[in-house]
Amino acid sequence: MKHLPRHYQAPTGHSLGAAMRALATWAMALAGLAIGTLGMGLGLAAPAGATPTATGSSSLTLTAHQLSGPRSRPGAVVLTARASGASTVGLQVTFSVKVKQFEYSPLLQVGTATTGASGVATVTYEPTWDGPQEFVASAQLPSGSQLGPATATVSARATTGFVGTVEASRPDGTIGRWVVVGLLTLVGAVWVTLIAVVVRVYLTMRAGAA
Amino acid sequence: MDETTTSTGAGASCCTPAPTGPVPVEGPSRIDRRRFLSRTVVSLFGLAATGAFAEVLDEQHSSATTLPEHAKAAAPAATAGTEAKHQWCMVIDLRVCNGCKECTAACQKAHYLHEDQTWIDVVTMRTAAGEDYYMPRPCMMCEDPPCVPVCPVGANFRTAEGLTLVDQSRCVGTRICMNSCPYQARYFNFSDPVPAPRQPFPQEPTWPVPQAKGTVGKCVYCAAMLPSGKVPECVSNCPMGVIYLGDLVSDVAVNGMGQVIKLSQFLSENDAVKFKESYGTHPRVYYIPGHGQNLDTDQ
Amino acid sequence: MSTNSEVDQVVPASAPAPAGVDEHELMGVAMRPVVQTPRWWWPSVGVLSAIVVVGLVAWAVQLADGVGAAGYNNQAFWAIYEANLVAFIGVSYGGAVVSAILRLTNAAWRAPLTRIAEATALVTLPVGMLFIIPHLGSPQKVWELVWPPYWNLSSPILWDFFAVSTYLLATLVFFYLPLIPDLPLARRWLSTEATGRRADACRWLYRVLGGGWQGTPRQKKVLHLSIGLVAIMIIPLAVSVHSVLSFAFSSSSRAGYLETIFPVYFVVAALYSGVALVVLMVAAGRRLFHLEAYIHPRHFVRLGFLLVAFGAAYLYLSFTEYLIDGYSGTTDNASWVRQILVGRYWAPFWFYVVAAGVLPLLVMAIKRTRTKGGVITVSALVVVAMWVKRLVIVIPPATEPLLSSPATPGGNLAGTWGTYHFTWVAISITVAATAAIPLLLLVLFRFVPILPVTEMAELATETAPAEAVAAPAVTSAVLSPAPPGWGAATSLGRYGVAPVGTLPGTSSNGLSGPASEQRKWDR
Repeated sequence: MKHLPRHYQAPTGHSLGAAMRALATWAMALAGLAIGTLGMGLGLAAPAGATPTATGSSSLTLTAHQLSGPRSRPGAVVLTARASGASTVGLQVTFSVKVKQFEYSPLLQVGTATTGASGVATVTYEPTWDGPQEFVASAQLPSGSQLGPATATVSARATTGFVGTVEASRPDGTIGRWVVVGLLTLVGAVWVTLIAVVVRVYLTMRAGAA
Repeated sequence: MDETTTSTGAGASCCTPAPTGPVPVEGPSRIDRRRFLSRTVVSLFGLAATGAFAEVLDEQHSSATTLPEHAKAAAPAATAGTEAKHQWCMVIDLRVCNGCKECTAACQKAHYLHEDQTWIDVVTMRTAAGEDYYMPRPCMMCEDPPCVPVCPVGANFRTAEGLTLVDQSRCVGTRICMNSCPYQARYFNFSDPVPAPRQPFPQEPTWPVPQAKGTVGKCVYCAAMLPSGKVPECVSNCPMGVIYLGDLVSDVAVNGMGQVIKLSQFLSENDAVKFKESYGTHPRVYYIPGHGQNLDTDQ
Repeated sequence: MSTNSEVDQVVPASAPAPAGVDEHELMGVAMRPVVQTPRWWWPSVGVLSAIVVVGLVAWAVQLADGVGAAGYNNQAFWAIYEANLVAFIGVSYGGAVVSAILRLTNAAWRAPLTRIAEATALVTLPVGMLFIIPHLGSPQKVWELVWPPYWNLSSPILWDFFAVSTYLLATLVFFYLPLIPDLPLARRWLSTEATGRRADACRWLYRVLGGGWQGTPRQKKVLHLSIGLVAIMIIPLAVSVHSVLSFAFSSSSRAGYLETIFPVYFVVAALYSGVALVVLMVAAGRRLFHLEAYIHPRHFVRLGFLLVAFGAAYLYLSFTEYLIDGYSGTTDNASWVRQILVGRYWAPFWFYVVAAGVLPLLVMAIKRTRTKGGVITVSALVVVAMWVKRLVIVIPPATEPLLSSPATPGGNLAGTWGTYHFTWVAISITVAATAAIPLLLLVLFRFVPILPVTEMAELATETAPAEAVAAPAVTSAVLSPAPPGWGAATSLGRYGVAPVGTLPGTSSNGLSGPASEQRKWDR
């Protein structure tokens, strides 16, 4: 590799294949759950769709809801991560969405935010597809350990539809259509004329023979 | 195909006796032969013309997306593109390709192809500065694919999800699509195909394995695997994460390392270009340059 | 070759001679291939058939092994069969030119040549069309081309099929219509002059095809109108065939195929090679069936002029094509032109330039070489060189790498040029098709008169008075009603139809002698 692209983040599991990466994510989630059960009692009442997870004495909960908007243009999805426990201020929370279009549902980062005084970090996200969307939030504690991931699912509508072209049209395609009509007519006329000519000569001969 | 009933009518109109119009009453119930003939010719002409007209209009309705029956089944999504759930594309990050050709090997292994059938080819290019770089070239899945209109029997078609596929059961092997493709992305089966064991998918345009002798084959984006979320073989087997499978509808793309990008943002931030865009093909493969290379975008 | 004595043997001297032309006698000459079986006939047919069989075996091998057996590969996806398709359909244009164009321009000298020219067209066109079979990768699916539900009307190949099949129908009609007046004549001739099963079969055939022809004014009028109509129609049809054939190539983005000049280029090439083939076939028919008395060296020279006219036009078109593409300097075009001029395709290209570009012009420009022999030699070269030129048209663009790197000074670093490999399969099939043309002609002229007797007679009658005024002594003597003392002298006018019989003061076969002939064509 000559040089790394500018826009690549430090690769997480760069050398791992897709399967390995998925396994790692899964293992991390399992570990988080196992530890999180201890601090569960300290967590706030989880809002609907929120899954609180905790590391040590801290936990992270994520809520997601789509702002209402006109039918033609639904509002953005507001993702709210709430950290609770020991150190909850100034945490950098990373929000992602699970891209279920692809196998292993890889995570697409949709934004980062820092928790405020109340331990809340918020981002807005414009969904690009319809249907249930699963969000994941995680944060890094000052101690270096991972807070989260917390997940939330919301059924959302895409704010922006597909804006590209589906089928590029050929310039002046309609002219070609009429050319084809004309040419086909011409071919048909030629066949009819040729056959008619032979038939006519033949009829003349039959008349002559009679 | 339902739109074809009129066309057979056009063909038959050349041979069926046509109404001769009102009989002139000048003679005692005898049609002058010349008049008879001229009227017959005129009415046959008219019939042929209307038949042809109807046929052409039907043809135009289904122009680029004349789907064979099973292809329709393979792409049950609505015919209008924006209603389709996906619009597949690829992003190829030339900055990180090291030319190892793992993609080609994986593709040929999965589809049981001969060595010269490089459905995804990795070509060596050279920059103005004399530096070599590598450019993977799958099918461009053009939005106006030049290969589709040239096929005399309509064996090429485009699915609602934007994939240009070949119906090898119909292909007669004129190879004119190989002529019209500006990307040299079509490969003929000049001999018996590589024998393939039983496949996980039926032998359809979405999974043309094994290939059929005497027909054209090409990259299909592993179309049979896409509905289950599996990425094409070239994508999942690229050790560098060069190739992304993208969905223009949901605006996301993923590479073989599980890295997901927001498509529109990634393309604009990295100055993505398309290959030979001036040919009017509207390809759906986006290249991320980075070597100062000229991708022939403004020829 | 002492033709005259043989003519005298065939044509009975006692035949009644109407004023000007004795159609019965002339029919005797025209029917010679039908009733006589020369010694060379069966061996020739045998050898030609054997070559065709070898071609069929080669095709069977190709069917089993795939198109790769013909040397194709992914970077030479079109090559010899496509060139053959163009070349063989192209040579059928001779029939259209000699018969239709010369008919419409009232060039009466065409008369003795038309039957051979039309037959050549009739025979070469299906042979050329058949090349679509080995061309296809899956010939078992060729029926899809005639199955309207599968038609894709935006495809140039489908329109090729439409155009060629329409042209085939027109060629068939154009062969049949002028044949009609000859048929009763031939039948009558067979009744008086020949016996046997073949003669019976031919008589039956002639009755079925032209039984009712009596030459009544109405019949003549209808037939003349019909022939005129088809002659007018067949020219745009011929133009359409090669135009659409060229679309199959030029409807792409490849350098060397994407050429606006292509339709014209293809049509002119077809006319050029078509006239050349007519020259060859006329020469062969003249020699094999002893038609020296009717087909003259001046016919060849006139055809030679037609030939160089098309040849010069084609040379000009080639020049402009390569000049402009080379001049444009876009990577693909420049690289393609370079490969043709000095690169891997230089040899066939310069062979064309010499053999079919410059040489015909020189041969017709120099008086010493402007002879029958010169024209025949040049025509043979043109037929071959124009086939080679079709290879130069078809193969280089198909082998050009498209994934080139424009920034590279030499271009095409990424792609190497593809190579078409000639294999025995492809060559056998090509040779078989070539052999099929004389074979089919030999068979065809076992059934139809080789000269358009009625037409020759009519033209002789029409043009006789004008000729009589201008003609030198020999000709005017011929044109006057045959003096009784000359027996069955057949006087057929100035336009290439020479008398049979002895004329005072000339060589034994009158005007057909080279010495008396050479000065007359440019009179």
